[in-house]
Amino acid sequence: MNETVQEQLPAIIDAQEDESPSIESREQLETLLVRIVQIFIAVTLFGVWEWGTRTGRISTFLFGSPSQVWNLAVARVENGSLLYSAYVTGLETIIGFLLGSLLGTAIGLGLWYSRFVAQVMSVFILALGSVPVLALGPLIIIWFGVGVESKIVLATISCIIVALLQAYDGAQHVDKDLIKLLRSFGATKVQIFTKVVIPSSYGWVVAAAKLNVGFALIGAVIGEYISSEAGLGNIILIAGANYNIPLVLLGIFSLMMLAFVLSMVVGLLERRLLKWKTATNR
Amino acid sequence: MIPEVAALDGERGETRPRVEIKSVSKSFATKTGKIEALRNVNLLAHDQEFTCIVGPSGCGKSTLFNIVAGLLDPTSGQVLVDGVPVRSGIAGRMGYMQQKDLLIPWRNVLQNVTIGLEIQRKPMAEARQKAVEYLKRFGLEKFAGSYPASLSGGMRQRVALMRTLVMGQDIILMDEPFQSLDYPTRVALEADLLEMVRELKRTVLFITHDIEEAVSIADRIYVLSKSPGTVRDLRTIRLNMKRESPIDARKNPDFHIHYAAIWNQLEVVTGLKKESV
Repeated sequence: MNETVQEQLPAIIDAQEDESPSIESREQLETLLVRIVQIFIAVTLFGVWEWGTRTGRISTFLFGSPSQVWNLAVARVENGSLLYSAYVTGLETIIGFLLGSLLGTAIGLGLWYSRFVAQVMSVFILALGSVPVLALGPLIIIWFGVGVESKIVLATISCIIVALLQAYDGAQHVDKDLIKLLRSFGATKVQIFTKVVIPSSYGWVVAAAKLNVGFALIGAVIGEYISSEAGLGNIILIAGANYNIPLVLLGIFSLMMLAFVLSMVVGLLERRLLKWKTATNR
Repeated sequence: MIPEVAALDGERGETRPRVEIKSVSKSFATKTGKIEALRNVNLLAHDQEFTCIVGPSGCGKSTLFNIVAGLLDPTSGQVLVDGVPVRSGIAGRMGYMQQKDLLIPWRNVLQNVTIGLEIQRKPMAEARQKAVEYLKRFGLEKFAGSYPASLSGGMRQRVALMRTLVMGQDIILMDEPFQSLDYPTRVALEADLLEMVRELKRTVLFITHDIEEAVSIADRIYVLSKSPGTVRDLRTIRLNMKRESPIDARKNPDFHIHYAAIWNQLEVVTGLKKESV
């Protein structure tokens, strides 16, 4: 829309130019339709599941039923045990996510400073990155105990490599011409780093953060599976051993909710950091 | 071989040279041997004048600018700025504007204009005030908060121009800054540029391969030959002495005389015409 206007009148651009309302409302309608279909699919799935277990076509023993899960959820929210478990796992995930993202990003961006150090380190980074977190679990539990600390460490390790590689890639993809421009103003290496390298890596860092929400959660839950006293992973593990399928499902749904909330927070961060990308029509 | 620099008679008179390029040659060593980019280039840019360098592509124009800006050392010869030799490694003494606008996408217009001042650690408040002043003077203040992605090519190049001018250096090098713009935008920007450099009393060295652009904005035009670049002709253009706009300059009867003369020069140097000069 705007492009044609700008092509015709390159010198005089009206700031008030905006997308026409018809396109905007069509987009709103489309978002609404997507939501309706999403709700329809979810309701159908749960409906068929509930109907199947009530009519005996689906084994309640193996699959539980939505109403069982719901009743359990209400009871456990009321006595606070579910929220406490979610709090423990959430805390492990968030702290691990923050530590891993910050450390990984700092190291990844820092490697921009020295090509030599980056080349030396690359083989070690690759070696560390290829070890499954699960394999490190027992060691970390021995070193950091069965409490939240070991889960935080596992969540941190799960995030750090992705954050590091993304940040390093981001720093390598900085527009060389922008660096030249800054040099022509007499910029120092520190100035180039803070004014161009860091901001231009935001997109990569945010992409890493989106992935790492999931990885941090995996790290925390793996830690809880190996040995723990509390947390959603702990609930699932014990319920599974007791064939308490509704409780297992409740744990899984709670993890989903937790991941969803964390992803939303990262989404907000993305909008904040990359607002210049979306602000094409002001 | 090098035409004598004719004194500018008329209302302006001769002004002192700010940039003197003296017998500058430059060759690069490559795997296949030595490549000669510039051969014995002599060129003057006078105070508060608009000096254009016209030449076919690959004639070493950009190499010449890098030498003038002190980003590159000549193989022989030297460049004097206000009589002082330029050594390589001193960046930031002259304004330098390129074909690409190089606006920083995550900075808004105002922040893009202040970047150079920020790098030179000028106080932020002062830098912002200065930038706003420039934006206001050239009617861009209502775009101060806009991001580059929302601007047209002409606007972006205007912001790049502001970013160069706000640094306050009184000698500005421009390397085909308007090349990627469409014709009307280009003419509008030429007019803006002329107005600004006159108002701000800047000395401009301007590279272009567009003869029309050169004739309509320049006070003097140097015609370079194809590689290795060397000065073939110097023309003093007087169309702009009476402060005409580039559009008026195009209507001036002398416009076509200059145009045709430079065109002939360029045709010869690019080898389209086989006859000798």
